[in-house]
Amino acid sequence: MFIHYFPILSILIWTPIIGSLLLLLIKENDLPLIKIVGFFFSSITLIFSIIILYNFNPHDFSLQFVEKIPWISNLNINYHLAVDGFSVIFIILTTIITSIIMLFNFSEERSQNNKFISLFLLLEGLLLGVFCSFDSILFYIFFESTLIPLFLIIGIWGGPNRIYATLKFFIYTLFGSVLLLVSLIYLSFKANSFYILDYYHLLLDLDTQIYLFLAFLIAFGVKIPMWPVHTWLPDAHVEAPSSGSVILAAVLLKVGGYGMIRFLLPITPDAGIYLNHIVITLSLIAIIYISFVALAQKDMKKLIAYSSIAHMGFVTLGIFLVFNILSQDFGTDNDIILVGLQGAIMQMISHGLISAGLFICIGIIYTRTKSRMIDEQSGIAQTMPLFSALMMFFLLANSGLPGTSGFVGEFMVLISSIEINPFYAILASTTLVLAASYSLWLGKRVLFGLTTNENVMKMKSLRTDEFWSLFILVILILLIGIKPNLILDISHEASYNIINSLVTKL
Amino acid sequence: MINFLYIIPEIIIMTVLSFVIVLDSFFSKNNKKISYYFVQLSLFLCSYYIIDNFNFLNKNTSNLYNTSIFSNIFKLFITLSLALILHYTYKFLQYFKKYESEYFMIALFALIGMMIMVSSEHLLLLYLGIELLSLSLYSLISFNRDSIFSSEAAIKYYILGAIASGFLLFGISLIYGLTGSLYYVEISNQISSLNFSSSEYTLHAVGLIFALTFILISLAFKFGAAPFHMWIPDVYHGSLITTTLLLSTVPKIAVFIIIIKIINSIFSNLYIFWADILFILSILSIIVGNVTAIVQTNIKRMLAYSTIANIGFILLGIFTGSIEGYKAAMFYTITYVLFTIAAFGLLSELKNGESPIEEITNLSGLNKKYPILAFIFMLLMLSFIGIPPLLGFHAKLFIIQSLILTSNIFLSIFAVLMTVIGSYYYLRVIKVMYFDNLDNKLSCISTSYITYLYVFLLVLLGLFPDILGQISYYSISNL
Repeated sequence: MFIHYFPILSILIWTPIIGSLLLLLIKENDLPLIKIVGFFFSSITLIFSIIILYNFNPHDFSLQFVEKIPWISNLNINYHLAVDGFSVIFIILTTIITSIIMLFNFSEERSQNNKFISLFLLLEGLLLGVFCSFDSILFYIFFESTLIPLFLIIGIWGGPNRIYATLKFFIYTLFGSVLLLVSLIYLSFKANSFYILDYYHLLLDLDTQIYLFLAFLIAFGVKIPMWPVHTWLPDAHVEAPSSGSVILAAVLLKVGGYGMIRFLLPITPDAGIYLNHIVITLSLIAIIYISFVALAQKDMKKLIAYSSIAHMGFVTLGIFLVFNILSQDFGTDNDIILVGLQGAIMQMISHGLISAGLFICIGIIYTRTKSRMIDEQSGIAQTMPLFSALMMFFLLANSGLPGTSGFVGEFMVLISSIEINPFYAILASTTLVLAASYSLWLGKRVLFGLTTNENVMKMKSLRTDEFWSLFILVILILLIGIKPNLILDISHEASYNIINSLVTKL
Repeated sequence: MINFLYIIPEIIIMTVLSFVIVLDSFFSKNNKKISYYFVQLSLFLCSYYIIDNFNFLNKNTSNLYNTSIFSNIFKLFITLSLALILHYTYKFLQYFKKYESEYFMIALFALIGMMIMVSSEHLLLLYLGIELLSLSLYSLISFNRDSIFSSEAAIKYYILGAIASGFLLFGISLIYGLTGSLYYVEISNQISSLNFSSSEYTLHAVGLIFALTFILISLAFKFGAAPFHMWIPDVYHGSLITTTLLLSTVPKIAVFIIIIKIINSIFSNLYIFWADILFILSILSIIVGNVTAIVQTNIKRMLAYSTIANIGFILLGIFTGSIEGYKAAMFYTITYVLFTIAAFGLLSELKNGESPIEEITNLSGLNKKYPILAFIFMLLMLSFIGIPPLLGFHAKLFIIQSLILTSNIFLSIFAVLMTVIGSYYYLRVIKVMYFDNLDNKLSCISTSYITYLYVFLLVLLGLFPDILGQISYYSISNL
């Protein structure tokens, strides 16, 4: 096909970055033009990503759309881009979410300028780079440089406590990623190459694996975030502008999960089996304890932030259950392993869409009432019925209502855990109750009841762009919820590959 | 036969210098700036000559004064950096009405000192070079004679510098006593004939280790490695910002080269001894630099501690004792110098009311008034932290890679964790520039396109690090 003659991945990555540079040339206060240009570039990128998805062959085991150019010849580092089943899903997620953010930005009344939109496009390009790189140093470069745009977005356009939040965010994630750098260089020293798939064939002894496992766990666990290192996330979310929160929750957290599947799972299986109970316990703490924390929140954004951490607990649970299954020797039946891993991927995509919707909803409320506190709103349903219906839908999806995508991921992880250890399944399934309680309770307090606040009474109904940015998400959530194979088919071969390389290594 | 053409670069500088010194006294006060142009001309002439006769210069294999590829690349680099530094200095001094032609002449003397250091293959010649450089720097530091801090800094540096020179001379005399020669080659031959395992030569060995220690202490002082770093913050703080710019960049390259040369060509057999010394120096420098910088409020002092931390990284590269380590250290030194020139150069173009920038808070709100300058300064700070894809990241990558190749894994983890601590004070500068309210006294002396172009080139170098990587590879393999 003709598409294979183009460096389509480079085009995909560099289009938004070039767009972000072009935006800097536009006059700072020409807001309509800026927003249109931003939307234009994000939709072009979306179209490129759809072309990639269309031409992607899900039944092909090998990497596709490979581009490889020598970059740092001294160290044998290449500019090596490619995609497999995992990458494609996350690429689509990134481009869809960025386009929705650009659409939503049309209605944002906050003081914005060309730099704000430009940073989002830059962030999109860098995130796409993370998902496409198959050279570990290139991966690290994209991974680490995503810090800068978000650091500035929170720091410049954030709330009153933004400086504390953004410094905490930066230093936390930097701390995690420098250990990743050392591990990647160590692995390249062992494998004599920086190509990620070469790392998969390395046979390392248990001690080395444990060190590497811990480094990966810190690097990606901070990003995802896992329970003891999650504290930066609520702060960052609360202070970030709405669009910043959207991209943070929907895509940036997924980088952590993607990294775990790409590095931690295939490279350090023995260490994973050795330590699986500890990491599964951490995931369960995230699911249960953080859900209770979410119940107690007074700030809507903080509540959704904690709910994100709890949902990400399911992702890490799904990933680490793989190690648990391997340690229990289920024979050659790889299907149980696949269900957990696929569930984790499903959960990431679904959470990306749902949390994006919720943060946009909160942004819509905030632009009207200038407050995010739960007890300062009530009875929004009376002034904004359509909006309330949409937000209620997202809240229900957040609590895992069957028929929405939120159900599929959790269900798959639970199936896999119940086969392995019913105890884990019982603990994890408490989330179904807890997520429903905090989501529905939030809906009850914010959307329903009597209108007491003057600001709420004066609320204007949804604008068209706001409606569409929410409605597209609703369609996607329902589509994936009803036909989850849309996602699962794409990632199936890639998951199978990873599990296979794991099993053969043991 | 002695061929003087090998030292034409030095001769060009010396000739122009002698010429300008005399000529300058005949200029009227308004025409003094002509001397500055002469100085710049000599620098470009000199670099042109080096580029043009690159292959010829490399053929010199004198035992006394060797102009190898290694030293020529560095001479070129030092000369061009100095041209850029003097450009900033000139604008700064003109604006604050402190212009004196002598400043630029003294800088040329310092350049000659550095060239001698780079090329010398003889310990006494090396000492001469170091002294010429140091004496020039003493007078440059005290240049701002109305300021009490400036005099304090000069005296402090002078006294401590004299002690360090004493250490160096003592080390050199010990070596002369033990080996009977001051030529690098001969000393190296003498040392390699010694067998350190047999008890016969113990006395010899102890003497050599003493000499090594004394020489390394003195070089560590010149380099600014902890625990011999005490002068750096005070001197940086006390002198004019452009003097700090000069002081913190080119001399470091010269000192780096002599450390590499001395360690690699004289003491390569004593690896176990100097590795220990460098290990302690680098660990202390990284800790002292990164931790102490956090509490600084003066931007020059902050950058002084950041220098110390960076020097710790350079020494880590040398500490590995491998070719990869030397390459990494060289890459790091070049990166450090390029970015420090940009940082101090940019600071020298800003002013707070009618005085130069002193405190970090003087920069507050820079983004609102000069978004491009703020963006440039942010890139520089991020590069110092080591955020990709800037050059500072590649520098750290090379150092860590060389550490891992020599199985110093925990040292590499220590190094990267210290960069996380160090990131805080660089981020604070970004925070002040981007997130704080505008300080109305902040303004710009003149927007210079040279800065934009220069930083643009630095960003390109970061995207294509192979260029610098190849240069350091090439020069280290021709050491």
